[in-house]
Amino acid sequence: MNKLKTRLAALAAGLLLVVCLAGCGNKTGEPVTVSLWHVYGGEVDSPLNALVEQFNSTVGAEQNIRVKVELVSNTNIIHKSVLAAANGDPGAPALPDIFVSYPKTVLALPDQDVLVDYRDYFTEEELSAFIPAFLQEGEIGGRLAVLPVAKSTEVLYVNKTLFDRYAAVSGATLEDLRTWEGLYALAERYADETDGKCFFVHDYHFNYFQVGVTSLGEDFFRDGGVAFGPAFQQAWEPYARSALKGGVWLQSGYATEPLRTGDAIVSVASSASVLYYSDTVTYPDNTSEKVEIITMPCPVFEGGEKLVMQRGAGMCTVKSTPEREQACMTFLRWLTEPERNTDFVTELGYMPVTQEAFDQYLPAAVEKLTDPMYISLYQAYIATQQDYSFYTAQQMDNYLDLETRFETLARLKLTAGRALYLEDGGPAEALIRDALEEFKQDYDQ
Amino acid sequence: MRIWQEKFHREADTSGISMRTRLLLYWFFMALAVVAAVLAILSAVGVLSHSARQFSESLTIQQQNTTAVLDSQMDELMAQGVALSEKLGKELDAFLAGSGMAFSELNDDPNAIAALEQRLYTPLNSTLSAAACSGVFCCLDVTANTGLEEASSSRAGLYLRYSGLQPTVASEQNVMCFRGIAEAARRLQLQLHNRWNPELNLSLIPGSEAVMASRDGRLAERCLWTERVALSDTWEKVVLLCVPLLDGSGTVRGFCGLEISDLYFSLSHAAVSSPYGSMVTLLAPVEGNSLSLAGALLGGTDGSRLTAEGTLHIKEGKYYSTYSGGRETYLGTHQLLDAATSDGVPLAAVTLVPDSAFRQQERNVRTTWIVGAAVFLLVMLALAAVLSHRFVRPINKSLAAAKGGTANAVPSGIPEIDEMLALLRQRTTDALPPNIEALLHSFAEKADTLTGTERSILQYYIDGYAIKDIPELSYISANTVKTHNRNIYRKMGINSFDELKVYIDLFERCGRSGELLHKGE
Repeated sequence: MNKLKTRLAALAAGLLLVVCLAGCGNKTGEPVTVSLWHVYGGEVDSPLNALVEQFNSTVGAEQNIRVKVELVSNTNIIHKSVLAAANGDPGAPALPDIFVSYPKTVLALPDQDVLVDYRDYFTEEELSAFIPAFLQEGEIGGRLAVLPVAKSTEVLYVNKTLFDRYAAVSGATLEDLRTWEGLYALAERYADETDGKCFFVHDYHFNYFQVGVTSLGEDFFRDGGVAFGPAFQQAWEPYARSALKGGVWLQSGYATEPLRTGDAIVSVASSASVLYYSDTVTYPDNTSEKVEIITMPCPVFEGGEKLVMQRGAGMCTVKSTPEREQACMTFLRWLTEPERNTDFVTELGYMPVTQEAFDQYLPAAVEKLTDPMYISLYQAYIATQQDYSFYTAQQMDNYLDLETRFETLARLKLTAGRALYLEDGGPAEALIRDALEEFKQDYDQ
Repeated sequence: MRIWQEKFHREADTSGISMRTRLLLYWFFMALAVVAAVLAILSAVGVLSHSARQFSESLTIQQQNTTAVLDSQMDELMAQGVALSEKLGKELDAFLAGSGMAFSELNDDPNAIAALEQRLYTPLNSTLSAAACSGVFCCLDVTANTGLEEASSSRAGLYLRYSGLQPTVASEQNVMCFRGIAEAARRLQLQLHNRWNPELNLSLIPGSEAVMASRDGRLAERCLWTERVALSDTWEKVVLLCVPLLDGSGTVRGFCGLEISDLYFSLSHAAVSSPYGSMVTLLAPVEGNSLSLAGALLGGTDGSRLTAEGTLHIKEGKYYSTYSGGRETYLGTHQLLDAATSDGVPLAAVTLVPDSAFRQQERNVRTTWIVGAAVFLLVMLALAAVLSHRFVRPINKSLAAAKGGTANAVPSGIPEIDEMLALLRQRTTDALPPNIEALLHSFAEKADTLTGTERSILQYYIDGYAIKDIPELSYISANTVKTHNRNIYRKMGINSFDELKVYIDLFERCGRSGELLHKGE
């Protein structure tokens, strides 16, 4: 009888084990697929896409995770799409699992709680590997909402082939491009001597003023808006003068565009735009010319502080299921491992985000570079790090609005001013003042 | 005695569940247990699972939807392509007439080409907004610089495409100039693509020369879908629909068309969840038993590791086809569409499910059956065990009581058993030999002659006390006890206490102790 009881108990235990085991595990064996919207290589061959493929075929395959790139664009388009999705706009897509974002996008979200706090997933030890200033930038409302994966700064790109050609007849030197005053003076001269041809293009006029005014010792922002103080006027005058004469590119779009067509020679843009610069200029008659593109540290104002904008968005992860969130973290940990992070960023013109990557891997990675454009970029980057302080944009709810209106209005006012200048052909001083007044008036409305 | 026996019989008739019912229940559970065991075995060998058939039914429904959607999308794109060609032809004629130029005079005249591109922008952009595509283009059989080495393959044209395609409505998309004269793009407020070039490279558009060389037939019949080709210097791959562009005289002046990029297709055709895994939609060239993944447009691939690389070998089966050769094996079905690529390979609408996902689901179903049957079997066996235990326990109790010869029989709760025990008891009582019965009867009658004190002393003896215990129990002296004993012996016709104990034992063994002192009560 006892034997029978023991056997029955064993049978029951065995069956229970089978039932429990049958209930465990992934029901269908499908990989956990997480979507990614990023900016690393929009429109061109994306190094991050290749890394994603590498992740999917290694760690992803082992852990049954698949990262799927759904959008490669720029931060403005991602900002727009994320807000549309978060607000549930008609026709808007669902939020991706991971997206690249500046803090301004997070601040503009209707509910920031849709994003995970990375502190819930990364240990203090893991986070301590990141450069503190980069982490600090992603702190929003006491939560670490933006994880840095790559950082950049603004640099000066020069089409040296065309510059040398002009220098040969004008006596201009690259030293003229060290200061804003020198650069704008050269742009003015170039426009005068070439019947109004453009010399210089800046990707972000807003950044020029923001960093410039701060470097001159004044606050750029005041009461949630822009403080139009004396330093602003100091920055406006050379910029507006050369713009009215045609030396500054006022059309929308990125700085790479007029350099690609030979319509400008010098630009200030993110170090990350190196991926989009081409060493070929194509002219209207369909002829092309190989050129040399070099990079220099961003110009500064004479007597001003050597200050430069720190750029580079980070990754936000949208709350979903613990399984998906964990999959996102696995991918982000993998991407920010020092050696891999270094390889990733040096393909794109960025800086790594961990101290170990900076100290141990970056110097060797820079030495391995073969593309002259990238070599020049990292030389400029190292010089910038040595000589400049980095400026981080303020976290303001209306930052994007201030930026967008500034970019549009500044270009519009100066385009109108240029038309008047071409019409009258008289001295530019009055037009510069008028354009500024009109700009201030319309911007404050 | 008789009263008790009657009572016992009455209880045996009415109380408890009959043995027949109990056995019926027991065998019923045993039968269920056997059924469960059989089910478990059948499930284990897969006889009971119909996953393949059910999967085939789901697959067929999804495939019908996929085919209908792709058929309709391609039809619409061709209609829009033909309409675009007609609009562009009219614009071209109007431009040439307005400028007084012959078509060939556009060669080496970038300004005139820029002006023409500006004019062609409106029909192109409106088609882009209205059509389910990611880009539109027109290519003119002229070039801005005939003196260039690559002039024969470089053709002027305007190519608009969505940049950073967003998974949202067309009005929200950002249109960029991928190919076209920069000046024209700027006048049109179009941003240049990061990999912009002023002209199209015909060598990168397979089939374009065939379209431009076509002379006869209706436009719809002269359309052509290219293979999936890489957009130079970008990470995207596209399929292009090319339609000849005719001027008013019917001369081919180039071609125009629409683009479907990998990304656009993937966003437009999301993977469909099913119990058997994600169902992925493909538009793929299928030739014989080969499906070219490298030439295919893939819908959303959530839940699979499908990538547009390599070739899948198709093996047809009873319920579905098996597509193997890539990193994974897929199960699915396909149907040829009324379209082919530029090299004549038919295009097919394909629905695929990862084999691993289906197998997992099949295993899950089988495991559920096995576990369910096993649990059922276990429960049935447990019930049978409990029932048999409960069935036997009262019988054992009753038998033990009967064996112990206790005065009161313990009912088993099973009428048949109780009745049998009662009969046995009765038979045992009645079966005493007549002389013994007479002896017991005579002895019991003699006990009636005892006085009250003698009876109480006899009761003590029946209860198991010895002679020496009586003085203390009855509050009398030992001599008085002796006197009473002598009287008891005399009246009962015996000679000693030992003889009295033999009689008391005999009565007790027969279960009739009560008769000694209660006869006549």
